[in-house]
Amino acid sequence: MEQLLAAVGRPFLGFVRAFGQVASFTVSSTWATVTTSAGRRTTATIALQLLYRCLIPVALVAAPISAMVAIQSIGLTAAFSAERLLPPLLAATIVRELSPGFSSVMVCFQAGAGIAAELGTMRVTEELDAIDVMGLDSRALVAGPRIVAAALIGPLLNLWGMFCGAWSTYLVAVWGMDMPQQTFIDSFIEGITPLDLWVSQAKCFVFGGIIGAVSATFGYFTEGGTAGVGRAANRAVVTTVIAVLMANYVINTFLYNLTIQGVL
Amino acid sequence: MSPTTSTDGPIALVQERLTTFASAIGFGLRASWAAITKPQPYDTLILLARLLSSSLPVVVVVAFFAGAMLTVQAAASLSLIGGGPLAGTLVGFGGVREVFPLLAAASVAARSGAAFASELGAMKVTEQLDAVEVMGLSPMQLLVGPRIWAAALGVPVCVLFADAVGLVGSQFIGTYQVGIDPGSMWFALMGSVVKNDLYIGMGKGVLLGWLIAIVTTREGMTTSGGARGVGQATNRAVVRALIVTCVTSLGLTYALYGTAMMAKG
Repeated sequence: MEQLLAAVGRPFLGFVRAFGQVASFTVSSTWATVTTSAGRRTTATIALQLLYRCLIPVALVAAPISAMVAIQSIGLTAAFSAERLLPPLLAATIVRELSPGFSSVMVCFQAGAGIAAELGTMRVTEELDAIDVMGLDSRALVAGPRIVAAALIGPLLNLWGMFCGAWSTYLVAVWGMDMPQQTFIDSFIEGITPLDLWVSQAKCFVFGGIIGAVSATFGYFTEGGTAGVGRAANRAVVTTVIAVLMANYVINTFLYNLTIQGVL
Repeated sequence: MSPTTSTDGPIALVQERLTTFASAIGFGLRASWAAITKPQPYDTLILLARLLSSSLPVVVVVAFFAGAMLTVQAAASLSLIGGGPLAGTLVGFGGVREVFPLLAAASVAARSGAAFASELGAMKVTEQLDAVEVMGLSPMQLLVGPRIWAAALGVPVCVLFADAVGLVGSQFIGTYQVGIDPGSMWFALMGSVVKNDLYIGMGKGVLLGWLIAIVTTREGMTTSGGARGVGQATNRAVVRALIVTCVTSLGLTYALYGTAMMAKG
């Protein structure tokens, strides 16, 4: 019995410890970054770098998946002879769920793994120690900027993901099934409201922050040399993907409750 | 890692990318040949067990939340027209056909693909791969081949688990949170799952696993530059594996469902 309790308790305590570590590290390094001018400057540079690195991968994920959804939805709407409903349905899917979800997963893979690998390398090659020895704050200069930058690029990449998704569904609908161009464009916009856009953007801001926080913490506290860097990047990707999906579920539930209560 | 390192303008960049692409295809063919002609059953079994034990927990959590998320989102959209159990139909249909296989493959890429790249990368920068070659053995047959088989056999299993857990997650959340009648939710979920879609999902899993292993082992085998290089290789490996997964899924969807539906549409 004792062993059973220990087996259940150990991962739980591990989770609590990791959560506490991420939370305290994130708060202290974000605060140190936004209150110093060097931290803010570094944040801008890193945000641009991350954005540049993620643009093509996000396009290459958002476009094919949107096209897949479009191809599957054609059959669904054709079964009810309701092809006209296809564009608004696709717009709602892309803006509400598909683009924020998959753009953020791609940010986990590209920016999350990148941040953990960079910080991990700096840890095992003692660059972070060198920064601290010089009397500078490695949290404010190296870790914090990556957390803030990840939160800032989340919504931008979401916009880009929506754009790519909309284009690929346009290609499927207008080229693939000969829907008149104007019909597609007019009814596509009917599917979404400004509120959908704002909610989607807010989600991506939160997801970006989570990705930055988790991967910067895992990278910053890397142990175990070269193999440790790989492990940190691996752990960061897995944890951020799960964390983003969980956060997405929690936010959706919250919004669903607001919807059935008639607030939204 | 950053494409900005190329200072020779966009043409050089495109050339570089095309060369990388061509060399990746070359690597894929050689690796597949090595895997098929000289399979290593013992290593494959060990790697398969490791892949399943490390990736399945991730797949289960991801699929559960994906099922839950789809249900809540579908219920929110359908509540306007009072179509509660229809959420089950949507999740059963779209989930089993596309979402769960794709997420299972993405989870394996994130967990085991990254591990393949970082293991082989660490072996490469610490010259263990050279040591293997000096001993007259082939890293392709010894290290890459078993990983390809392990992924090709492991991903379909993960897809099946993802389907099961995703449907159970949808049923659970649909019943307890959204408040749909359990019987009609289960009926809607099961009614929309087609046996062929399950087989197609597993077949997709075999192909995606094969490709994920090729992409990630290639990044590991071509690592250079010490600890930094290993981190960069892991990063590139997961990103490229996810892109290959998505693009291949689109190709398969188009080939399997697209042409028939477009003819109807």
